[in-house]
Amino acid sequence: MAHVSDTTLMKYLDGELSHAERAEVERFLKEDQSANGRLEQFRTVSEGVKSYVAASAETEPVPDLWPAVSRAIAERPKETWSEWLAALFTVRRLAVAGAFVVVVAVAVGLLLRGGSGSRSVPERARPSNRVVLESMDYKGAPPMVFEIPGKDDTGPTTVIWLQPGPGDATEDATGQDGSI
Amino acid sequence: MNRTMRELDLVGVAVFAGLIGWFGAGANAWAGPVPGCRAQVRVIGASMKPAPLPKALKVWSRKLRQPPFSLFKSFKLIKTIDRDLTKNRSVTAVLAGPYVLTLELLSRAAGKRIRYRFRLKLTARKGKHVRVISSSTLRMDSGGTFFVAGPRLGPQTLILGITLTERAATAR
Repeated sequence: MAHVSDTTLMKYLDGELSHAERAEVERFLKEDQSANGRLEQFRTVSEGVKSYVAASAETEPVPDLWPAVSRAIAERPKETWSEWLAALFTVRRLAVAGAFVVVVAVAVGLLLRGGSGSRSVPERARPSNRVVLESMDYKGAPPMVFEIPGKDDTGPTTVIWLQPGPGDATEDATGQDGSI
Repeated sequence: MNRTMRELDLVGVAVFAGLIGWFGAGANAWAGPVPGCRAQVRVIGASMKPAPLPKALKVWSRKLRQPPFSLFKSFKLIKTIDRDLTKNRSVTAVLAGPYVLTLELLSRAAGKRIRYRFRLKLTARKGKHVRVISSSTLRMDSGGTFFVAGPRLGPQTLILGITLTERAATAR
């Protein structure tokens, strides 16, 4: 196996791979130490988030919305056949008008661009999404740095994952300004 | 007579001080704009409850589907914060919940691409007590976007999408 992507490693952790794919990933993990490191990072983040979500789900009140929803459904006026047909024709007419506007807009756009199709932005104009971390002071466990691979020439995107310290699991959801 | 002279002296001193201030302000204006940039911080709440991706985050849909963000089933844009950064002057922004972000532009280098060196500090308030979660010095391209994630926000996880751009330009 040449390479196992981060997405596949995440799926491996979540048990979303087939038996054959799992075996292949396990074979790859035996050979590649860096992949083991990445897997451990994902496991730490995944377990941290899942345990926190499970803990908060126990304390979070769940409002019972069903009585209000069922009452609203029962009180909704019944639509007659004639109303339904009229609405259908209005929707069709709107759809035809919308399609016409889109066709005209595309034609005007192509004419204005001189029919040259899509032009790519020059390479020097495209900024990189990669961050150089010069120094970092932190409380709790050391932060993890991930890189999301990029398809275009902007390259990978850096994600700095701050792991919560021992007292962070009970961080308030609302601030002094009451915002979330 | 002496009293009138003294009053005239005071008026003279006041006029002189006014002139100095006026010329000083003029000289400062001639010095040109203070170097700086614009910071855009998108404050996102990630959760395990499935929900469609909001329109404002569609531009990052591919990134949010990949690890480590693929852990989550939905993302909500809590707010977008725009701040002008001036060199060596820290700017704070209240993010969400107890979290406060402090940004400070340290330097700007213009080569093939414009790059910024800046300090980023994330703190959490609890009453009068302020706890520093992390403080870092970073370098990145103008217009690039990076993420800081991990702090808890009720049942959600806080994600910050941070973009620094030239003042005239808009964040991608």
